[in-house]
Amino acid sequence: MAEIKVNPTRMELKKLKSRLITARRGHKLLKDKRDELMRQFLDTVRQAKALRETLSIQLGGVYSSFSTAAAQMEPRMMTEALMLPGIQGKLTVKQKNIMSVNVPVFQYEAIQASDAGGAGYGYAFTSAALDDAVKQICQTSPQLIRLAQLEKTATLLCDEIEKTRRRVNALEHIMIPQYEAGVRTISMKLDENERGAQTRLMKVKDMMIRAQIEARRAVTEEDKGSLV
Amino acid sequence: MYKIGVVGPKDQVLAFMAAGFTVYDAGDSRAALTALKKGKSEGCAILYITAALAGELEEEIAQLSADTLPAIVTLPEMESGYGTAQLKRAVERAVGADIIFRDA
Repeated sequence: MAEIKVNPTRMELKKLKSRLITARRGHKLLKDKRDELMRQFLDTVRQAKALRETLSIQLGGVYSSFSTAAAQMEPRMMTEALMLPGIQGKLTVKQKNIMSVNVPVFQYEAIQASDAGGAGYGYAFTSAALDDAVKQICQTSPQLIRLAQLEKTATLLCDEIEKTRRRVNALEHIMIPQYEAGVRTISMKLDENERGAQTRLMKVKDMMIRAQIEARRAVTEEDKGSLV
Repeated sequence: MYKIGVVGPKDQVLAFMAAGFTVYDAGDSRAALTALKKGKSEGCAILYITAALAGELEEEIAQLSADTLPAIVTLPEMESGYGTAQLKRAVERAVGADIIFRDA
């Protein structure tokens, strides 16, 4: 791992220490975010899975009724019959914030377009299978909208989880160890300097004391000589 | 108010017209891509696409649905299981291993 290069000064040490604290706090927060995102994601996926299974069975019925109708009717007649929908869906979109991920919330309201109810075509020239297909599709459409919402949420959450996980890992395995190593290097260097200064001082003090002793000895010897 | 679009071969998606969805007829993947772009620019919040076409346009769909809207969703179909496979892949990407679909 590449260590960061820093000047071994107290200023840098202080800066690095505060960065380390921030990185640790960020790591903890992001880890919590990841866990919560994961919980929400798994919840959404479970719901989406169940709904998709139910819908695939229901839509299977729609497809088969529709293909029967298509076999019984002329394609032009069929398009004509379906051109004016019996139900007009009103879709409004709101946004929900899940751990700073904006996910859409679809609100679907089915409005009966014709007063007669049911399909928006006359029953005279259409097949009964088409009526079935239309009825079923109108029943399943709110669930289809819900499926879209769940799957979109799952995709958005999945992307965010990936990003967050990468950030957590980068902090845990690269940033924090780098800062720790930097702090250690600087404090070791500073300690070393301090010890060097102390030794130098002791040495100087030693030399000074020795010089004093010698001076005093010289004075004493001089006194002795004068007495003799 | 937003629209709901359905992209796919006409005989498969025409039924959705009855529910008030906007149907975009697309026989092949190129036409489907054009239809998806058109749907997005026309203000569709949800775009359904048939599994066969979605399989061919995986990257393009990922690009088109990168934002919050539109949601591009594969129509549930009994045979292909493409939508379920996509969910499974999302779980693998997010969690690292498939922990939901492994029993299926």
